Amino acid sequence: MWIYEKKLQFPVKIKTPNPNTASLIVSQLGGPDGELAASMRYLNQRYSMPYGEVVGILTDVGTEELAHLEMIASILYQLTRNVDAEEIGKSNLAPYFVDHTTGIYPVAAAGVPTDMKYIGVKGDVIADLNEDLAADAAITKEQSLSKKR
Amino acid sequence: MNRSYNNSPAARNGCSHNDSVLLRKIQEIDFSLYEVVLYLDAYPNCAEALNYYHSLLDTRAVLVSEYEHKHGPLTAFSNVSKSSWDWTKTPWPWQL
Repeated sequence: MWIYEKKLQFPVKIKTPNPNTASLIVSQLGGPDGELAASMRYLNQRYSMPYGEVVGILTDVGTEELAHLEMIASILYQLTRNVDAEEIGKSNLAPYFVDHTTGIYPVAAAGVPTDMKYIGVKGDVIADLNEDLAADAAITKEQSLSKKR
Repeated sequence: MNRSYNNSPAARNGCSHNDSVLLRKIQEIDFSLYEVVLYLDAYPNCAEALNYYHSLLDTRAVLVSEYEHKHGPLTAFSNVSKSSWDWTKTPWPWQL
């Protein structure tokens, strides 16, 4: 089971809302390599792991991903806090706003709702850990590309 | 977001709702704690890491006790007051 702690893993205090930024960051919540997908990879892969060390790491990292999910959700909440509908209508967040207003809904940046078809759970140590490395590498690559641009 | 939290333990004690310095200390301890937990998962026989883990836990217990007495429970299992349900009265982390 899990017990919630009423604090973020790292403080989130955004003073200037920005719906355009929210429309990009939402992918880290609900995209194919986002925090929700990461948590579901680790927490579901652990049952078929034959080594206690690996079960432990998947349990603890899968739990930590939920803390990351909460930080991303808090960022989205604060980026859209007290922004009027007209301003959001002119931003890239407009299509999201039509269906979800400023509620926090896990989608990829292109608007595809979270789908667990992108995660791999094969009941095999090597296949599953390689899947985790690939998903993590995808995030690292996206981050390095965004720095270059 | 102008909801009133006048019944929160923070308000009763005359403190600010958000003790970000104390909370930040707990967050820093937890950062280290989480890292050493993951290390111990992989290297369970490392005595140095286990000692570090326990020293962090000792520090954490003192800080969390101080925080919860001043600002309300961090978990639903740590509502200090026996006369008031503070868990839902203090601000949620994204509201701070």
